[in-house]
Amino acid sequence: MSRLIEALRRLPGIGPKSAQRIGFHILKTGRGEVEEIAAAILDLKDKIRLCDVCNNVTESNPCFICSDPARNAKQLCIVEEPGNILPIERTGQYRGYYHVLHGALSPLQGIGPEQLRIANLTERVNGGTVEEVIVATNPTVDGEATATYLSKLLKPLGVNVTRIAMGVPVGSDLEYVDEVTIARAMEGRKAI
Amino acid sequence: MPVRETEAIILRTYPLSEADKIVSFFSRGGGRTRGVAHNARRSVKRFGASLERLSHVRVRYFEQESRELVRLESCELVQSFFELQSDYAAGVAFSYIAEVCELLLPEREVNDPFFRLVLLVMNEIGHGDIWRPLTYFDLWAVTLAGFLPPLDTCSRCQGSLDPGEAAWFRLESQGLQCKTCRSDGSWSLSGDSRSLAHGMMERSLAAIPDEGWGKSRAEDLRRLLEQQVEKHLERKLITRPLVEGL
Repeated sequence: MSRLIEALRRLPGIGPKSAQRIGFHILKTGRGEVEEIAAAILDLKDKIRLCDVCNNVTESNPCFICSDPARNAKQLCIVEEPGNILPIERTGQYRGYYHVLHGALSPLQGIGPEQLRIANLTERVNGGTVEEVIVATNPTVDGEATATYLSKLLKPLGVNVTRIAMGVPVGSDLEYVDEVTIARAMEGRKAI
Repeated sequence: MPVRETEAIILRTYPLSEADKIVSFFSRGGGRTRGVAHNARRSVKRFGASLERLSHVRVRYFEQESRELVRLESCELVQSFFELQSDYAAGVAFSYIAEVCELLLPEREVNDPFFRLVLLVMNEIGHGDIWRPLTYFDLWAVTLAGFLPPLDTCSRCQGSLDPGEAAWFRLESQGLQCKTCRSDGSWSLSGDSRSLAHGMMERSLAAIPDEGWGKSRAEDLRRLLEQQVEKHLERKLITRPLVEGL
């Protein structure tokens, strides 16, 4: 039991109490269900890999997005993590391809350009099909630094580099929005 | 539960559970403090961009004697350095400052001169080249922390070092060494860099001309100062190789 609790504690967001609770829950659960959980974890490690083209997590290589010929090959959207693709896909507004960096420039964590998956990005852009690169990194200090770095890197390759708009969230109240966000919203205003 | 309201600089944030953040900040009235910003990851309504690294803010928090972490109630932006940090070099410099503050400053110890130093240097980085303000920061951070070695005396023979004369140092030595006493594998500190350090100790940052600055200027002085920081902390700074790689 203590071995299991110690192992569970290594998972993000799991403290000693949660690990203990999960451990006792597993003890009470039937063998079939436990085997199912264990098999799912092992399957994840055995079958899931990174797409050679976009670095997204996938079971097949290239991933289902990269192997979809109906997508707009002129647009490439750069995101920090694989989990960032799904919210963009859910909008139904974007039909181009993606590129996952697996992080953002973060000097405090010792993450510089070499630690990000940028090498195959420049290869893709150099390929000649891409006309617009949309940088959809998070609107944080690290995300902004990454966006500016990529813009300087990719613009000389002859592509149009754009940044996703930032500003007031739908359904919010201007009274509660801070100056940085309002300034960005004003900068990114558009004609109606 | 005493409530405090003070100016502060956000040093860094860490995710905590599903929606919260642990915020490390350096406050003018309370020193380096860590607290929890509830729901800061899920909702931007309460904290917005004020928790971004090195934001100058006015923070309001609750303290409980029995708890290590304070509870952040509100955080209002006084000055944002968000746009500035989109430049990679400035971002690395800011991260370096944040790391040094976080590791060097003792918890809950008021240090107004250090607070003013950080604000001054951040504003100066916004006006141009990073190397002049960064050298000034290194020098004063080490001075205020109390471990700047004498710049005019050989630590081994106690002889005085002439102005303009080069000196030598290594991680293991207690201070600078003269040409005679230096040991193999020492780094040199040029006479120019020693003079510059004296100038920076005597004058304000604004009075130090920004012409002729680049990475190579006073690189030896920064190496000496950064080695002193690492020696004192007994650990390597994560951001130092990135600063050196700029």
